[in-house]
Amino acid sequence: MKAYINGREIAFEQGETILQAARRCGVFIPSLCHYHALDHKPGTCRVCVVGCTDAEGRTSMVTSCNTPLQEGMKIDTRSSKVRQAQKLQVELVFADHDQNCVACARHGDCELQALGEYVGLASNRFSSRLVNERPLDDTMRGMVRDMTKCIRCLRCVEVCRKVQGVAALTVDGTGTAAHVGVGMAASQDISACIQCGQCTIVCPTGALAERDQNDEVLDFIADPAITTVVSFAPSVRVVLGEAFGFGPGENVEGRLVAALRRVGFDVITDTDFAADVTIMEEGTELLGRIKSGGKLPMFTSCCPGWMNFVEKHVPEGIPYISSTRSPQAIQGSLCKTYLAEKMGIDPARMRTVSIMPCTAKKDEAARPQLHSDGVADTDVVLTVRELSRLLRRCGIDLAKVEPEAFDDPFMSDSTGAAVIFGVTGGVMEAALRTAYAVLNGKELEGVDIAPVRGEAQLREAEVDLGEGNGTIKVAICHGLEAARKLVKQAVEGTSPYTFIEVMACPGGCVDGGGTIRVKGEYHPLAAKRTQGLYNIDKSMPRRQSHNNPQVKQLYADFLGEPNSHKAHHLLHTHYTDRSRAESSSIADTRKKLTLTDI
Amino acid sequence: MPQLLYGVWDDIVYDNRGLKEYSAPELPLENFEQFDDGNPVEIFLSNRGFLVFSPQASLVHALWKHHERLAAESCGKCTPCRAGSPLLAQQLEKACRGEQVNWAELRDITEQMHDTSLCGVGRTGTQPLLDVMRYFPDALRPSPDSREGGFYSVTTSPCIEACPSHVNVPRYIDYLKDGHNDLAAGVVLKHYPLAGTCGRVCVRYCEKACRRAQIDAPVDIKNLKRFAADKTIVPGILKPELSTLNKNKRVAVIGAGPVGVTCAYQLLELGYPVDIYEAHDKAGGMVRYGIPVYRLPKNVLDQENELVKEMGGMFFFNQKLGRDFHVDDLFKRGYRAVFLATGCPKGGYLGMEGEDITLPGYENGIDFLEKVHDDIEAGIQPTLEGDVVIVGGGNVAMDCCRSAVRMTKGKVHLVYRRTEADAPADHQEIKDAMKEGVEFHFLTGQDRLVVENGRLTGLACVAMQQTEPDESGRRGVKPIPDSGFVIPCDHVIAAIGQMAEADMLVEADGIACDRKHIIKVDEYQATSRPGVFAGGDGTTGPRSKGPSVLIHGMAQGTIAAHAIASYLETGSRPFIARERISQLISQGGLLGDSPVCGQEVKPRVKMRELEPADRAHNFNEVELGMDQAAAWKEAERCMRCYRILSIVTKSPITGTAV
Repeated sequence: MKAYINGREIAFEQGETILQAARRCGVFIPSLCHYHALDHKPGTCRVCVVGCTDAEGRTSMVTSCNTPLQEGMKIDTRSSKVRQAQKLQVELVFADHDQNCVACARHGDCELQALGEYVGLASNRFSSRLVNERPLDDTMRGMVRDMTKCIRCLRCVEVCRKVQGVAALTVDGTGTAAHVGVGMAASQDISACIQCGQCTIVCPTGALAERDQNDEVLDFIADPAITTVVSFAPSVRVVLGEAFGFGPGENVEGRLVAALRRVGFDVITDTDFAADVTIMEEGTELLGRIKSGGKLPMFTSCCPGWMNFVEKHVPEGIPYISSTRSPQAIQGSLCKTYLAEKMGIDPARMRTVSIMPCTAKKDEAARPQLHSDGVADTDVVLTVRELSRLLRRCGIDLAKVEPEAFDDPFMSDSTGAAVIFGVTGGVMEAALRTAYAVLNGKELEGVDIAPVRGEAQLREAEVDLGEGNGTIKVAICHGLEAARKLVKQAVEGTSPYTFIEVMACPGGCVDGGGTIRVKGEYHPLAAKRTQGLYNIDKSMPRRQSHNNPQVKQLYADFLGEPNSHKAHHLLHTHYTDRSRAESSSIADTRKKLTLTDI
Repeated sequence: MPQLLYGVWDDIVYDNRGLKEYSAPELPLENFEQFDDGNPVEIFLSNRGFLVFSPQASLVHALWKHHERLAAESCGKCTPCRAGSPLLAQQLEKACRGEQVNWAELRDITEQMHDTSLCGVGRTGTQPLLDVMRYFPDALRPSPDSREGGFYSVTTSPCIEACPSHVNVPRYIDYLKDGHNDLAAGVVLKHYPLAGTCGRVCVRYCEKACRRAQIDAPVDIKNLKRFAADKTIVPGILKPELSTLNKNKRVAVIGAGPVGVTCAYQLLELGYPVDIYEAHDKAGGMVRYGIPVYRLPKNVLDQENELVKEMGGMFFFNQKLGRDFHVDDLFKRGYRAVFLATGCPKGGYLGMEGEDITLPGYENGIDFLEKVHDDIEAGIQPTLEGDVVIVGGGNVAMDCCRSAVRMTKGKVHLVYRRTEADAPADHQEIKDAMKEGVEFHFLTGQDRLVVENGRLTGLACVAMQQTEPDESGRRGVKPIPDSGFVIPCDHVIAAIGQMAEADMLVEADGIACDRKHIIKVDEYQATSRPGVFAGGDGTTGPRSKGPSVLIHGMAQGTIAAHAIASYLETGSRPFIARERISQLISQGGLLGDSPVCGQEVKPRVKMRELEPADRAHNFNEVELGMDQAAAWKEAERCMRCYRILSIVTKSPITGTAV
């Protein structure tokens, strides 16, 4: 089939949209709401308008993102009329958009700002004429929902529903008051939102963003009476580099250690250490449940988005969740007990900072269950995006820093098992490596467990636990729609699995809600980041958690056995039903209707 | 007919100002003589243009009001309408006040909204302003309107107009899309409580009007409504509160079918105490007894009738008009108005030569369906022995034959004298009946019951043929000579019509009926007796569309509630502007029929249903509704073909603001 773009004949296939064909042929059409990766084209921004003359000679202005090309169509993307229409559209987008750009989380990295340049926006006639009374919701630990910046592309709603299966986001209000809401809940904190942060990855502006806590961290550092202990998650080392010109998946661990020293942290530890401890505790817990007839299948608990999902959406699944705390929580708890003891620091004067690829980790740190005597085990959580900002605020260019090594003798050693916590299937693989060794007294041959790796949303594998121990069936899922079904199976007693790993974000932590964004694309670097972690695993001298010498020392000097009384006290937790009662009255519902007629 | 002064309609410019002789344009202006009584229309603005009838009226003022409405209607999702509509309203207000207006900028924004908005609000709501700017720019001169004229504006669409209840279909679909299932249900609940019921059995005038059919297929509006109700009302998540019954005039509703219940619901909403008298021992009427549970599980109906009870409506069961009380008794009991929703609860027989209606095995469809209902209610699986013949081509016949296939191991036949295309039944029902194994005999007339030794053994039939089309183009049928044959069977069920009960009303009630005891009503559902109103199957009037159309009945219930309120408060008939404008729209074809272009094909989502093999010998619900993901996907298909129509009248519009 044939059509014309700016007079040039092009061949196209049935169903191809004007925008698709134009991009294929190298013709640029500015667009905003369209989000190719999720096939999301709500047609709300109307920026990608082009002139379109059909085969019968009828001319109209159409949006190129969702208008299919037809035989003989003539498309005009560059006439003065079309450019004026695109420009006016962008001017109208700005009309009710908060333009305090300097105070915005997306300063310099904003799709709307870039769009203004694409269309040559020269004036901004309307911005003071419209009311912008949309809410700024500051109730969440992980994120800020600033609807004064919302441009109604609805990408967040799409990702929340179709990728995450959470559906916490709604569209509220009409006219200039229309914005993304949280299901008419009073605040996002009490809504069905699990703070996974995937919406912040897709938001083109700063309407949905991580809560920036860099100043709290800088205050700790500036206070001479305080000892600051920092640690960072496995995936941070393969993601952060992207913000400083490194290739995706490139390991910048050494540079990061050096940079954190430069920022002024007193003790630099590695969350990998806690990941290994997690395996010791969770693996022991699993074997215990199998042996004693405890609740099975057992679900992993290290992903805070997943834990929020269980509490808010499927609380009936709580008995099936491992009681072992997440690596971050274990790191925090051990810093203020074990490390404080070893280093002779008063825990009251210690502040722990955790760097995570995740917005929900901020929320996790605030859980009352993870406080000791009212004080948080983890004081501040920074996402990778905040970390990159922190380094810039301190004038540090990662590319110009020479790599340095950890020097903390207690909580910085890592293994290959700990590193792969950052990818979907990693926790499972790490746990199986150790479980096998515990049961058989020898290491699993061929450390890589290929069947649990991969990209499929739901994967399952049968694992031979060694002679006399039989096989167990395990499942791995990322994205929560599948997890919902796995919980249902468990509760109904039809689950064929013994152990299930769940990660809320697609791909796992390497593509978490707090990672570096790529404008207009959805996790395009997932494969490279994942490979980055697997490469580190392969290169490690030790690849099983139980072989981490500092972990061995921890149990020998401090905890005794995995799942000991002390370990339970410090390294395990519990969950509560936080689902919302849904009922409402018809009269209240009617009051909320925005209907101009009956 | 009023004289058009000037205007633009479908891009044709009319200007009769200063002409010596007026020649009437070919426009549907018959109804513009007056809007409400004695109140002439001065300006009309619509998606097709604008019309000015009076030199005194201020066009710029009308445009300002129209654009205020448009801004209020803007959903805020698409850029040009969200930002453009309030900007235009601001500028037009300035124009009215005689302040400086940047007309070039205003024109740019108007064109941008018109050409690039996402839906009908921005695309068509700007048509009048665009036409005025193009052809009559002088009319935009500032002219503050000092006169106290009337202004009425409505936002509608083809689906809304097609629905007798004018349910705002695009709005509830939008709420579903936006993630507010409760608000979607709330939109429907403005009109009637039986949302999940209607979402299962509605005849879907809206879908026939849906413009999406021009691209692929109509939006599955019925099942989206069902989805909203099933997620909220049916599980009891969305509940009513006790109404504040602050009006001290009590109203009696006779008949707890959908029409009576809807009227009661609306009256309770308006604050009137309502008592509902019902001849059966349960609410629901024909929807309960006539619609089999495989189409409508009765817990859905019960939950929705319960809403009326929870709002404060009182039900009195086993109370039959004409047997237990008369209309006069009701007024003596202190009711100030009465609504009769007594329906057509009697089934008709075939009326064949020598037919004996007491013959075992011969019965009418209504009695048959009620027995089936009673069995299921009592926890008994209803059964039939042997072969069954159902006679008729309407929905009752389909309910009978689809019930019968679930009850007998024998064969089930359907005999209908006309063609399949002529059958008044919902054609989806016919297809489903065929899938379930009913054998159809179209162009087959019933002749007589075959009785051997006092036992029914068959139905004698005769083949029919179509006659030549008459003047109206309709083809009749006539028997083919010597074509008689017998369908052997053990049961014959006559499903050819329903009747009102003869002895419900007596002479002394003073309520005019026709020969068949059908109550005569006017367009506001008032009977010949002051204070007595009626609606639904047992009535005939301007709004009657024959029996068994649920949505018409419920619309009548709502109209009647407003008419009763008007009667009780002012003693007069109401003027319902919303109804009046629908009359203008339908009589003048005002919405027009513009083609849909440039849309992507999005196939209608296929609803889950029981496999035909799983339907045998049970009455489980066949249609299983949509899941959340399917509902979102289907909701995406709605194009929001909104049209905003505004009317300026000489004097303020009086009457009900419904």
